[in-house]
Amino acid sequence: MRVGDFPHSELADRLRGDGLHLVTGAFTTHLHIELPSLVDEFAQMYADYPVEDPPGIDDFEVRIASPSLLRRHFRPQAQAWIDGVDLMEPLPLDHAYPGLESSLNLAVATGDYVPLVVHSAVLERDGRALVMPAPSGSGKSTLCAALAWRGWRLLSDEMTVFCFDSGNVLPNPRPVSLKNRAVEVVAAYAPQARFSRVYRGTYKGDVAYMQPPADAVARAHEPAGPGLVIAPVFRQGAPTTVREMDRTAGFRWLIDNSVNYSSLLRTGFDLLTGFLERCALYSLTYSNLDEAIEEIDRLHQALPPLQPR
Amino acid sequence: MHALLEPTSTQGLALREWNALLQLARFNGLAARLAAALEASRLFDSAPPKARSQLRATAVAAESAQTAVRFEVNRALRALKGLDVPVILMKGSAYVLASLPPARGRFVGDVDLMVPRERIDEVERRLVERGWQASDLDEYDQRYYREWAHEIPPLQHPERDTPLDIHHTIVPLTSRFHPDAAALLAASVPLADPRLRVLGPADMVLHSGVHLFNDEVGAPLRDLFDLHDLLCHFGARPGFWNELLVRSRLHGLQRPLYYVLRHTERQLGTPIPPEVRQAAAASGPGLLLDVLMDWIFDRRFRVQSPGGPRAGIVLASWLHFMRAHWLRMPPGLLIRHLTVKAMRGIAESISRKREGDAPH
Repeated sequence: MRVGDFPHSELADRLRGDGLHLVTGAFTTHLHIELPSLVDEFAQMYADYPVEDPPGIDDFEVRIASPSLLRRHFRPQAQAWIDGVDLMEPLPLDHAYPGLESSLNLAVATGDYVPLVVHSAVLERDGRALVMPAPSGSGKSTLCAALAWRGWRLLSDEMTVFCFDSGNVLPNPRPVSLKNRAVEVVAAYAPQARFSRVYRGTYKGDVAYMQPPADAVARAHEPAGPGLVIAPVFRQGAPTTVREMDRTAGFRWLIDNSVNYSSLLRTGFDLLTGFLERCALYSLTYSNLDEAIEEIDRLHQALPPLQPR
Repeated sequence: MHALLEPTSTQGLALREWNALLQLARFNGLAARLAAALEASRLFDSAPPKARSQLRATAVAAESAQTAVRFEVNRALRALKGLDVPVILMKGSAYVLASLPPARGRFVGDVDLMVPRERIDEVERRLVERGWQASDLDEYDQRYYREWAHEIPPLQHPERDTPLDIHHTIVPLTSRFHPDAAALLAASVPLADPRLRVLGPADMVLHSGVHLFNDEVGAPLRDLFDLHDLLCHFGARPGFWNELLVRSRLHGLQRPLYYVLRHTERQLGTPIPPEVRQAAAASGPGLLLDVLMDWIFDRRFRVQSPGGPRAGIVLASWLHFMRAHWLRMPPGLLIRHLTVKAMRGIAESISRKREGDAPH
């Protein structure tokens, strides 16, 4: 069963009642939505996503509702509860959808029962991962969204999730958040991409969300092995330059962007070093998307075949 | 609770039952313990994949926290070099460094140490010299710690995540109880690393018990499991049960011991020798109070669910909170303390409201 298979009224009833068990690759979220306007936006963006029915084991419970009866009518707001805790300040009702997306990210970041998570975009091709760790504002989401329409399968634009057992990357594909001018850039680049409306004046600026390609959602259970680690740097007018990155610098770069590396100590260290040893590492400075993607494809082609461990 | 005491009962659970089990275990601070219990009975691999992955991550996080605790103790010892002061580890950090059964799958967030009261200023000064910092407390909280509590304000090293709590006895100075701190020290036991000590078995149980039954902090069910583990472990040693009764009289902690024995047995089926139960019962409360205390503690140790507590549990928690404070300080001080805390709560909620209403 997929979200889009439910008639709208039944979807709304479920979200208000027992909740929906939404599967986004590695994680299953028990989702409750009590705001009718948010149900519409959710139904549009998540139509292709599978729903676990009958439900199994959830990873998180997320509830979005009015913070109080008063706030339902007077300057209406949306409040998120993650596993019963309201970790974020209430948002204006108009920003409920960005609030839902942030909650789904925060649920992963704050859970102490999730695998190793690095703040990074990640895609896959021929079973090999392309990990692009970078802080917000480095243009990684734009590059990631563009790659998702050029032969790469989107695993996540926000987080790389490493499985403890296999050491591989687990997908968690969700709508890609694009800030300010990035929306027009990606829309021009991939006319087939579908977007949410633009949410103006969120704390991240103006934000819109791109639906992942259908293929990324349909194959969200397929993990990816080691491949490329690329630190992307967007600089206006800069020529496309690739530099090899040494493993130590790459390792630092990954842990600096990790959400829970420091709390995993030895296990986290073994997992990351084991993954990095089987990757090729580069930094990529660019201003032209086409050239950047060409360069990434070339680096991917040049990867030596993956040796079994 | 059943799954923890009897891991085989998880076999044949439906996925949705696993979901409930994992959620409750997490909410009650017992998820890593569940992982350890399944591992010990070789049932881990037969759990559903999703349960395995969640439990594995929890177990790794708990294990890492224990490593951090060991490291913090190591750093503290290094800082205290040359002071020649006995350092007694307590609670979670004692279980971890002494490899006692409660350490199995237990999340330990801080290091609790005890040093002789007359040396505590010296120890604090040395740690601050070596980079530890006290949390930013207002004058009232400072005074609360220094004059009335059994510990100084928590210290933390800015490069690490593990707070260091330094005590000089096991209950607040203002408390109704007056355990013999010198006797605690004298009966403490050295670890393999002779610079470290832990409380003697009986004192350790009494401390854990007084903390659980007279304080309102911590994870009640997890702490009850700690006591269950300690009693099962030390209970097999000759002379332990008699020692426990003797030490409870020495420290004036007969009543807390009565509750420890009653509720580990009542809630978790801990094996208590009948003659020990009888001897402790002599210090139990009268019939009416006994019924009330059972009612309170039965609710306190009930598995708490994230859906929020029922009315009975709220009332029981409130009664327990009042009782814990009643035992901790004399009435005049108590009224003053609760008034200060209440005024501060009101002031904070007003300022939060103002911020919350500011335009986004």
